[in-house]
Amino acid sequence: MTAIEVEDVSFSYRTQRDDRALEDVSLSVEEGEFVGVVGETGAGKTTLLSAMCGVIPFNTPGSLTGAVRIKDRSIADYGSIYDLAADVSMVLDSPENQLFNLHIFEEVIWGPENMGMDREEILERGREAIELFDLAGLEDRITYTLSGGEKQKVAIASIYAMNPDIILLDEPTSQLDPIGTEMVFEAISKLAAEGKTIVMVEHKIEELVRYADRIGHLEDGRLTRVADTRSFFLDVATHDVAPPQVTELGTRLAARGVDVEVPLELTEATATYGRLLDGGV
Amino acid sequence: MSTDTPEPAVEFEEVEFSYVADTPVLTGVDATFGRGEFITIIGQNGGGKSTLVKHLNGLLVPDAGSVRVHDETGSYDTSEHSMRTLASIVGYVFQNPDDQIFHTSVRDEIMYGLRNIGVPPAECDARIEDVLDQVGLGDRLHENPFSLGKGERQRLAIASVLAMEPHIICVDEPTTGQDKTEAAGIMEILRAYNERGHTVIAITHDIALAAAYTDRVVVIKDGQIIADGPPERVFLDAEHLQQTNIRPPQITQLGVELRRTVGADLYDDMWLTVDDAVDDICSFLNQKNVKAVKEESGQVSESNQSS
Repeated sequence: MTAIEVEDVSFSYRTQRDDRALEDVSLSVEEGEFVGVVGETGAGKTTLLSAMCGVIPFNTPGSLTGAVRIKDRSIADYGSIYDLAADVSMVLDSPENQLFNLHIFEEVIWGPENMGMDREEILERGREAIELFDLAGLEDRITYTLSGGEKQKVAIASIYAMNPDIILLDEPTSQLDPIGTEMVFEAISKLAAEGKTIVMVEHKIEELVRYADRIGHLEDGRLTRVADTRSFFLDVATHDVAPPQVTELGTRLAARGVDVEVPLELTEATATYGRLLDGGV
Repeated sequence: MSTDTPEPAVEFEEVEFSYVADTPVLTGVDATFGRGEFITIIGQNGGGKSTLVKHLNGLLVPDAGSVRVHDETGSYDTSEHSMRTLASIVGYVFQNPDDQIFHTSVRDEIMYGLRNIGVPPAECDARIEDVLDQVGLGDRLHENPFSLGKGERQRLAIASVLAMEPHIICVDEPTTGQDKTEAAGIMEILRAYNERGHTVIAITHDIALAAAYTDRVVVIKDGQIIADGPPERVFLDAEHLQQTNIRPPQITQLGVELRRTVGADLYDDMWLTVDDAVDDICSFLNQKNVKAVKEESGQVSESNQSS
């Protein structure tokens, strides 16, 4: 089943002078799929996520054409962002804009409380979220005393606790250290494996290629390419998104006439280049 | 670096700090940053990186110990001087550019800082144009900063600090939210400023950028410096890194692994950039005489290493 269907969507913010933030974007995301979205700042990535979760049109003035459907139901039919929240939730890129409770645990269970979930279920879900995002021990800390990266984990945990079928993430690991980043990716791919649909805007290409099924590239509001992750990065001529370092290495060796299969991930690269170099002995 | 130990730009002495009683954030930081160094500070979330650099311009003052910053006229204890005095020595760029942008035109945004440190009005416009060119916003003089994209606002935030020409510039996560190409652009701006003799201190999680651009990596964990040195030395110490949630760049990890399996003659110096890896693999293959490896068209001499 199609989880998100974006059809010919164009959008300009009311304050925007010239170009449109999104220009004829079409994309469908299947249930359980993990789609990564890449592109320069200002390319329209956040706008696309906003249009998928109802922030556009309900909370953002501007002019929208085209249609977005969540599980075959038009976003316009939902009527408000609150009615969408049970189906689709978004993790914002600045956790500060999303956290407003005093204590961590309150923050994590705030969403489910407001959705009227059963009390036991709320607590259970909250504890799971704390565990999954490595926040154990911080439950009673005051949110504003956390570091940027810790706040980011709380923001994702609080979305997880609401148990939506579709989770949109806007650079969820931008302030996280490498191990924290990997943990968040692991947790999110676990959700995808459980059947949740994930759309993630992310600049950390080396991590993204390990988990995303497909990659979409936005450029000046246009979705210029969508492809499965491997073809996206092996076919570098079609875009200027910097590939993982091990991939760049392979592409550049190939350009110098070295016969090597270009790898995408580190473990794969170690094996591939190991064979190449060993063959020389 | 070919020179002897440089003059100090910053001296941290046994610095301790906490925001809330009984929750220490810095627990004894000792370090000297030399004039003209390009330093990255890395470490796990909540380790105290931002807290440490906020001590440089007096935004925070230590509970114990001292922080001194230097320019050619003298040495200033940050707890004894106003932020206004310190601002002409140390420029600080916030993690989130929107925390520091508050004017309605790009020009006014930069002008504000210049006026504050007493730059004569006649000089201001030339300086503003010059700095906007450096950061690639030369055609944006009269725009409203909030009509700029986030990457552009980040560059504006840096420009407004560079315009004041501080001896020391301190940037907190300058590349967050930017793709690799944009992030490299920011590092180039900082490198150019560093090459003019200024001290640059950058906090980052982007270990590949730290490796490619800076000559000294300082690792912070639990409010203390646990490793400090050139990237190739810091990355060798895998045990320390593991403790701090940091991993060497992917290309460095690949090199270490390959060298272990194919032999030590793969490289003498640890790979810090893809350029390093391309060069070493090609000469390794050439030595083994398996294949004639062509010169890479056009960009053979391109290198991310500063000399």
